[in-house]
Amino acid sequence: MLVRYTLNLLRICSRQHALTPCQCRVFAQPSKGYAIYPTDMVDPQPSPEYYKENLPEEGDELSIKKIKAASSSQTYSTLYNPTIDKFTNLIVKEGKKFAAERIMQTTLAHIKLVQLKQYHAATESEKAEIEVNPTTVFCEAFNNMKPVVNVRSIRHGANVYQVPYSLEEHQRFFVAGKWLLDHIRKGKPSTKAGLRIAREILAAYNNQGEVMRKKYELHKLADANRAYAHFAWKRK
Amino acid sequence: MLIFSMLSYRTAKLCFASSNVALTVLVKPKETVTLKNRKYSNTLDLKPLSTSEPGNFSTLEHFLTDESNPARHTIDDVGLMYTIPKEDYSKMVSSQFNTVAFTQQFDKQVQSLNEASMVIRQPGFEIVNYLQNTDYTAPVNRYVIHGPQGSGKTMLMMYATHFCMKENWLIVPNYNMWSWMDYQSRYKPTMKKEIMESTWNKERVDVPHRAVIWLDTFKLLNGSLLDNIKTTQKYQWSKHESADIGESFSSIVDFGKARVRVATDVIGAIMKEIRVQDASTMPRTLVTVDAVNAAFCETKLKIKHNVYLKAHELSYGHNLKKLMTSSWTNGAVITALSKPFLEKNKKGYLLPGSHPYDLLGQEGFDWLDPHIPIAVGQYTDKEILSQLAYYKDRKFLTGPCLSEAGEAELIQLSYRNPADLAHICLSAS
Repeated sequence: MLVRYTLNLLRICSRQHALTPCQCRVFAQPSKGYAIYPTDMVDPQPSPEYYKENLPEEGDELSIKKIKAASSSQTYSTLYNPTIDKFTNLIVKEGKKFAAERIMQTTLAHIKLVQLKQYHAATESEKAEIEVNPTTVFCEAFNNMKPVVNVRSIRHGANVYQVPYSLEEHQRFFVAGKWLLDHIRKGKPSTKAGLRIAREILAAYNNQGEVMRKKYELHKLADANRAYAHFAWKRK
Repeated sequence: MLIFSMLSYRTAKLCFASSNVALTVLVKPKETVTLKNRKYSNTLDLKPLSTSEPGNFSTLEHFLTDESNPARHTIDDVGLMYTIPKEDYSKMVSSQFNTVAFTQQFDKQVQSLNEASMVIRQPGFEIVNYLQNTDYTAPVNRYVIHGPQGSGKTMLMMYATHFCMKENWLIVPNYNMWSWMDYQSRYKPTMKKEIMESTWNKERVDVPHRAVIWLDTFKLLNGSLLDNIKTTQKYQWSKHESADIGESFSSIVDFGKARVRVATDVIGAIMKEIRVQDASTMPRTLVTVDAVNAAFCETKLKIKHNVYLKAHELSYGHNLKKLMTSSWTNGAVITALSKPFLEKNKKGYLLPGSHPYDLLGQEGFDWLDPHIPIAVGQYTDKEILSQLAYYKDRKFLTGPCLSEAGEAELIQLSYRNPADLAHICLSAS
């Protein structure tokens, strides 16, 4: 209730532009993603070693700026991985994160089993090339899926142009994750969701699969329309 | 009799006095490996691999024994791992017939690592010691394995069967009693079963499809041993088909597999022959029953509306319960309890505890009285460290889990429960 109330407040504030400077500090940049924290605060790091290594010095960010509160899913556990935790948040439906975590566990288990099977069947010279750690396989495959650019349709005169524009890091993550989940939710429910994700990830690890095809098509489209790239700065 | 057995759980020696086991003195192993003093220990077992990573004790040098025969395991091997040979494992697992002998997690582990290895534990060593030193002219001993969920009761039973396989015993397997009493198969829920009236006795019920699977596993386990065993009685299966006196077990089993209708009667005949024959004609037999408490409760099968069958109304259950009595000689009965099956049967009913009397009930406890209780607990320090060392050696665990903090976290999260540890390590990096 409290969060919803503040969000509504923010919306009203952004429209009316009638904030005092004191209020501005509290509700800084309300139109950008409804941020509750002010912009001058720093993100927390989910590893104790980071704060041990980077001790606060004079004029450093850590000494001056405040640190945001960590989310409840961020832990100092050795099993914690930030990219995997982010991706589980995408899977969540109806706030059931526990179910999403179980799906993620089955993917990691299946990736590990497949890679280990290859590893123990291979000769000694081939063994060095095979990656066994499931989290590194997942992160590498997910990096392969991420597109660099996206296309936005803009009207100029009588024509509509497909205008390419560069993506930021968090946008690239979201687009790749959305593609992966869209592809998987079309699959058969008789096979487990975790298995379906794992198969697609293992395909993407070798630069194959449905999601990788989508990425290459988008890159091709952006390359064909690069002449219209300057329309991205067009005034509406 | 009941009070006597209840008491015997507290004072284990009373129970041994009642049974006919010639006890050997078990010497307690020196407990050098403890988590508290592991950082400063100077024993031969504990050596850090490299000096750059002090305290990384998930890498013991000596965690695996070369001895693959359980009969030759000594007290020094307890807490270490041993590998089951591939020929034996392929016989025991029989996954082609949709029966899971070991646990599902263990099967996954074996598929990936391409070898089956498990921990030698104190109670397993105890059972093998009993089986080696029992007087087999006396009636059979009943062993009841009990313990918390996921502590390795099934794995311990398979350790005992591996011992008996090596000694050329006849093995009568039952990997899951509950699978006979449900319409759905636990491991393949799409598969539904049919039930029919028994041709032998009209009051009982057969599950023919499940019986054929049992005959398959029975033949695979015992192999060429069945050719030498002969029947002592004439069996009339139907009007025109019968088995004469002196027919071998392997021919009966093949007949049962071909005629699905008769398969359950063939099982009954096999179980009767085991009870009737002497040591001169019948080899030593082991009867293993997993989830034995399912044999003393209602099934989910029904013929009339709203009237559920009981376990002894199944012809298989009737025959197996006869085998579980101490009316025969030259053999042993090893049973294991399981809690989740019983809780599933009675919906919304939580059991008061995990004591064998709570799980078996009055009827079951009387049936298996007197028996030798064998308690299985969580992993000890030595067992869990050798398990983790094995995981690291075979690349099952990689990355940050191998640090000292990661190892401590795995031990704490799993509460030293073998099944939980396997489940966490499966998805951990």
